Amino acid sequence: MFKFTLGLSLFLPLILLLLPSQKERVVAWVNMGIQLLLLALFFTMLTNSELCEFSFTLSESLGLHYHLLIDEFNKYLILLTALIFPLVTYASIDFIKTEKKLFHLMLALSYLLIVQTFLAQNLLFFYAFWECSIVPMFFIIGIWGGGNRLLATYKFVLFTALGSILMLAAILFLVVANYKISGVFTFELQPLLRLQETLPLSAQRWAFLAFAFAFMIKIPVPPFHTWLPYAHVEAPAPGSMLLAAILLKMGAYGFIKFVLFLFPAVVEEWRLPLMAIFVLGALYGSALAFVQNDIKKIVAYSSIGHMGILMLGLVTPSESAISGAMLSMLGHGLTSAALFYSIGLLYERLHTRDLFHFGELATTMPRFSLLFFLITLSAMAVPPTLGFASEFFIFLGAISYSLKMVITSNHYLFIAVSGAAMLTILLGTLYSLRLVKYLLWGKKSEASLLRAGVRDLNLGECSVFTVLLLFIFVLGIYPQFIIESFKLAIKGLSIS
Amino acid sequence: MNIFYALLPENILVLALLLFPMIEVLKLKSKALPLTAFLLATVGALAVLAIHYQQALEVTLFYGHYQVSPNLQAIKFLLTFSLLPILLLREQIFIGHYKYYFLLLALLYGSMVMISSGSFITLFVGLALLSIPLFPLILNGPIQKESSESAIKYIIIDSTLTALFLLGIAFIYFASGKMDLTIISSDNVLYRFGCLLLLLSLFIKLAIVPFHPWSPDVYEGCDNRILYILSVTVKATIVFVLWKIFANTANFLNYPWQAIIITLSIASILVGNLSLIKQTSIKRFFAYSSIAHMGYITLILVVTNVSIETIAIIIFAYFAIYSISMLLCLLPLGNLLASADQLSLLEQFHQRSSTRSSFLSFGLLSLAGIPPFPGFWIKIVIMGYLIKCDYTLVAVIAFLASYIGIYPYFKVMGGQFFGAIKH
Amino acid sequence: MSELFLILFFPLVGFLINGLWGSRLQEKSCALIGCAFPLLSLFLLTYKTAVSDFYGVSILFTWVSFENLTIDFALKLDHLSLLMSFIVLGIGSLIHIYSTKYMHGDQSFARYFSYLNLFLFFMLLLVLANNLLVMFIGWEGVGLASYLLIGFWYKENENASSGAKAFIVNRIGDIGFLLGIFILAFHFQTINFDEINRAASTANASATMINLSALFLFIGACGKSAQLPLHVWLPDAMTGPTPVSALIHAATMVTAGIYMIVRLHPLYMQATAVLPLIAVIGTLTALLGALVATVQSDIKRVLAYSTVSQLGYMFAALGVGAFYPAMLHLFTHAFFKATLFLSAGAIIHALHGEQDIYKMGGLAKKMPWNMVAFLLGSLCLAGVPLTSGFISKEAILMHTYSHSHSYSQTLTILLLITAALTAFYISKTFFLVFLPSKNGSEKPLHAIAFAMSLPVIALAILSIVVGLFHIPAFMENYLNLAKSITIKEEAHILIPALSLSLSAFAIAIAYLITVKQIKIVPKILEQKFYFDHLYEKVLLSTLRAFCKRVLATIFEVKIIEAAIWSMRDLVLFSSRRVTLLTNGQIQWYVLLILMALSLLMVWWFYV
Repeated sequence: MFKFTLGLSLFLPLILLLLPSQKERVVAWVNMGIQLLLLALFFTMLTNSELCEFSFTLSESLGLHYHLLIDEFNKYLILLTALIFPLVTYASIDFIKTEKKLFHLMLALSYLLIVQTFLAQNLLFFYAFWECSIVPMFFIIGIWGGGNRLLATYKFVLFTALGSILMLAAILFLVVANYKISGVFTFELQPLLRLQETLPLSAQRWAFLAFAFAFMIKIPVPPFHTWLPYAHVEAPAPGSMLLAAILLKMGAYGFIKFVLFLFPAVVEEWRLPLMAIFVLGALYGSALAFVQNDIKKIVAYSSIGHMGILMLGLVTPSESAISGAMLSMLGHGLTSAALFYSIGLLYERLHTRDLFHFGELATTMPRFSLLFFLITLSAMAVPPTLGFASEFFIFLGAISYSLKMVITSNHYLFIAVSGAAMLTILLGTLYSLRLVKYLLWGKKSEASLLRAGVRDLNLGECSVFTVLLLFIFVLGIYPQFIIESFKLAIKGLSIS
Repeated sequence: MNIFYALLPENILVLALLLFPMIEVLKLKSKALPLTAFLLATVGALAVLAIHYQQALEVTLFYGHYQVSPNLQAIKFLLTFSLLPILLLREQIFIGHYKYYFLLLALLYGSMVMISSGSFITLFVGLALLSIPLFPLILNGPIQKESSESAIKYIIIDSTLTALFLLGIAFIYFASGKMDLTIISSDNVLYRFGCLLLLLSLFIKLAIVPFHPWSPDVYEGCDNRILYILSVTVKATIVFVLWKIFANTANFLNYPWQAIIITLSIASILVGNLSLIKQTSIKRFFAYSSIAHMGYITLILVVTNVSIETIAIIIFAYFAIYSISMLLCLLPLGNLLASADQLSLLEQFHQRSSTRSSFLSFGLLSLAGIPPFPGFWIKIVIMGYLIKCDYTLVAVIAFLASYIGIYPYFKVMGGQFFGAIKH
Repeated sequence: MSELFLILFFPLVGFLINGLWGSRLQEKSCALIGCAFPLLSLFLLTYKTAVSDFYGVSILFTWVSFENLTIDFALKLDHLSLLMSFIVLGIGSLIHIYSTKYMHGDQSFARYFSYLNLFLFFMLLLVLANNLLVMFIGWEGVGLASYLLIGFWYKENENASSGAKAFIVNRIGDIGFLLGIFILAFHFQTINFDEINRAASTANASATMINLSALFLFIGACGKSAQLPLHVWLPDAMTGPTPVSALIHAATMVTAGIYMIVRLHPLYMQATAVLPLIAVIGTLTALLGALVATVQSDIKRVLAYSTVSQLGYMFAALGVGAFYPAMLHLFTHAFFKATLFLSAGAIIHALHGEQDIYKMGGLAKKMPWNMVAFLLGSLCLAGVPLTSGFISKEAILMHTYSHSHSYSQTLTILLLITAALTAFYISKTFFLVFLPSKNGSEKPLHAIAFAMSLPVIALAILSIVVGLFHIPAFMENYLNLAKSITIKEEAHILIPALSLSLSAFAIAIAYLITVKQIKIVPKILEQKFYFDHLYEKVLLSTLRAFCKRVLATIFEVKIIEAAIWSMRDLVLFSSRRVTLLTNGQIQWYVLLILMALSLLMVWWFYV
């Protein structure tokens, strides 16, 4: 069944290519239908907990194995991808007005590439799909984006590519080092893990820096984040949903799958600076979100804030922190997809993203206000949402680890960093409430462009929200279900 | 019999070459005849080369001046095969057809001679045969004024490099008394100087920095078929020649030639990619792209701990992929290049023809080295070998230099869809 | 035990029904649904406890299970939580009934009741929680409900801001609460109340950890229960409907902090470094609240600051280890404060929205029953003998007096002064509102429905009854909290004497001031000790300005982006320069070749 699913995701772009461009609705519905089918397939595969592995050796001597595997790390990310894509496709039916077939083609290509990136166990193929996934996004932002879209899309491409190129150098370096040491030339991840012991630490540090740099640009971690506000603001709403919900997670996934496993010694050595960078980045992102006047920028910067906390969770060697971080990937994916969808809805009706042009949406669009407010709760980490659960676990782990450090080795900086991290809760509340206040409450502003009869959500739009909210609340109330499956994965990271 | 059989591919070409003047003499007007002859010749040569490879024919002719071996036949196969796709490209020439194909076949013959050469003399003969037909080919490009300028520049540079080449050979012969292609390590100043001249003259032909400025000017005046030939066939031949002479690794341990090659190659990649950013002309765009790509492939020459066959395979693969990429780029552009040479013409190309713009995009992405297109894979093979020889820093710099190239390729590709190729 | 979950979830059902379909229902149906579910919970609870031995812990599912920490979603019913549940459900139901008439005619009637039910659900969750996490869920949830209810009439920007202020200040406290949870989780490997309490009493618990966690949890309590300096939200919360103020900001939500500390009282008893801090902050809050209340002119704000002050009393009690007196005061305060708020609501309703006490007057004749209720509530607040308020306040004072630390005498004196001030402001308010005066409006009053008067009267009666029928003693045994102070002999007489005399004096002055219409408003009191100023100008504005000017403009644009633009400019510059090599002159090309050749020659030979 795994092979069938993979094949289907490969054929989806081809099928769409063959459909005539005039019948745009057909293209859209075929796209969505197949994506829903893929969702069902992935879901069945994962609940059956059979081993989903696909391996195809292109060249033994060159170490090129096309090796795909669903493991504990990418399991839920695949499900997230499979869930978010139909919603993105549905959103694009309304939001994209020109060249619809091309857009759906780009979505299908993104689907394929993203799934392959998550599944790849072979460093080279991981890199190949990672790099290639830039291309559909390049087109999505560049063709259907806002006014400043060219700058945004080139920034996106060039930033991501810079990190990737250095990562490629590091990959090659690791592979060659492995070959020199063990005589086996392979790009597979498992054999390369042995390099932890054999490669000298100084070499490991350089390779770590290259990998970390690539992922930190993608996640993004300030100060490498400046592409994100542009990309998010200019991208069309479905593109932003995709970017925020999934592409950012690719960076975090890469970090956990490759960096944490390949360079534990370096991470151990540089743990405090890493934590500090992530926390400062999170604070910076949240602080900037507080003073933006473009609602898309607010959400974009809040993404930076959330991802910073997520990364803090990843580098803390505590079971709860890493579980929280992986849970947070899901949570943030769902929340930001919903948030960007809402912004898209608002833009479609009112053609503005200026914070002060809204007001009193609770009266004119009650359904939307309710759903939007519930999403904001998750963004603010209010229980019982998934946002709360994941941040709770991350902070629990971080504080516990810091206290342990204080007790065992008198390192007070850890607790300072973790304590500062908790300030993001306050900043999150500040910018979320500000957003809610200007959008939902208050009188209609003078500059308001609200015309009478702004349409509230129809059934389809409500159901997009409902699906996302369902997961947010259910997983927030009962996260054990997912945490359970992370346990095994985290054991592999050998943390105390 | 053996000689004739071993030289069969070349002889087929000679036969065809002799045929063409007959067409002139007999004043046959048919357009199809030269084309058919050309096709027959090339396909025939391909077939024979394949058979030679199959039979693993290994012969040394003319007292060592000419070598035939399976590897070399394979290389010649590639070069001949690379000539065929030009028929797919739209022609813009003003020369008579038979003359056109005559010159092409002569060019091919020259490259075959160069590949099979066993001594510097035959190498020189091949070089001349490779270079001189290009002059009239370039001269008869689409726009008379530009083509003339390009052709003159080409011939001047070509003469210069041939002169340097001969000088190099002369010094080598004088110092070592031998004409065979093996370079040995020697402390003789003249010998070393000769080697340097040899290397650099071939580099001039490849348009490696700092010998590159002629290349964009020459490309600009070309017909796009000739552009293709210049980029692929000619340069492939030269690289293989470089491989033959200089990839013999044990000989250069006390010369800083590796440093020189690395510096010049990296400079080529850098300059090539940097110059791409500001281009407005499509042909110059491809010229700089070619400069950068030659930078990549010459890097492979410094790799020491790999067998010679492997390097040959890499060069082989590289040019195969490069030719595919160039074709993917040039085929869609055929119509366009007929009217003018501006990159801005590509704006909104997608609206006008979506299939063509897709192919062009694939070609550009492949040139840029984006996975999963072929250009990516071969690039990392080269980088991988560099790292294997402990040239990690070089590889990193090469990567960064190639990164600079991403912007112009994406700009051109994106421009087809977005509608703006100004930066 | 599943009935416990039913009791918990009934209000949630009410929330969902009214929330999703309420706008389509008639007002009567919404009211019915909104009131029915809390009443159902109340009846079920009463029935179950009366009939069977209903106490114990019931676990619904495991929320998360790590290697050394397991958190269940569990509820616990014991005497303490039962008492609180009765307060919540009892007063809550009465206020629901009151609201049916108070909010009559409002556009968002259904929304109001759904929010109110939501609040009840979260409050019950908080109260019935078996571990700190479930309590935290309830804790945040009531904050959320409070935000929604304070900003209920959201068309006014000010209301939305007040709601936000409440939530933000709460959240600041919540950060502390979370830190406390984490420290406890780290040290004790559990966040279960029973287990923490047990472990804290053992010898090998680290004093630092206990003190730290107690401190941070207390910070959380400060945020929720409006103690210094996190009290600034409570007065502004009065922009919400009055029943909301009664329920949330007097009887239930604000008492959550005290409840939490009482729940963890074994832990706090070990936290010897934190208890003095709690006592001091409580006392200061009490004093400050009372001082500011004396100059308020809005009746609801008087009551709000009064609540702040009374909560300070409870914390002062907690700080000296007098857990039972704190709970007792919580209990009595819930009743009489709710009475005061509800009758104030009736007054506001009757006067068509007038809230300035200086514009009221002479209501004694027009609203006699209301006056009685307000009078009873005021008497309790002032601590007049025979009222329940008297018993609880005296208990606190006696305990602070008898506390063995050096500072406790000072605290007692300050609390006595506060008592006097309390008597002063509440009697002043009473006199201004009910005694005949020139300022009273002559407009005909809006009729008060029976549904509104009934709860008021009920609460008033209850506030007296508690005092009269030896209920405190029964409660003390019932709750069985740890005792650490023995009351000094002389305190039994000294304290009541002092407080009574001070109160009488204060009431007399209040009467004089009212009659003579003196109005002195010191600036510092008017500015509420500049706390609001601190919050708004210093904190928020500075933060916003910092973020905007420093971070957004300087950092983001000038530093980070400038770095990137400069890299881009470098590339473009190099690109330009490099392209210049190809200048079209063939002579230059050949020259270049020869120059490069020579250079390379040099390199080749001499390097």
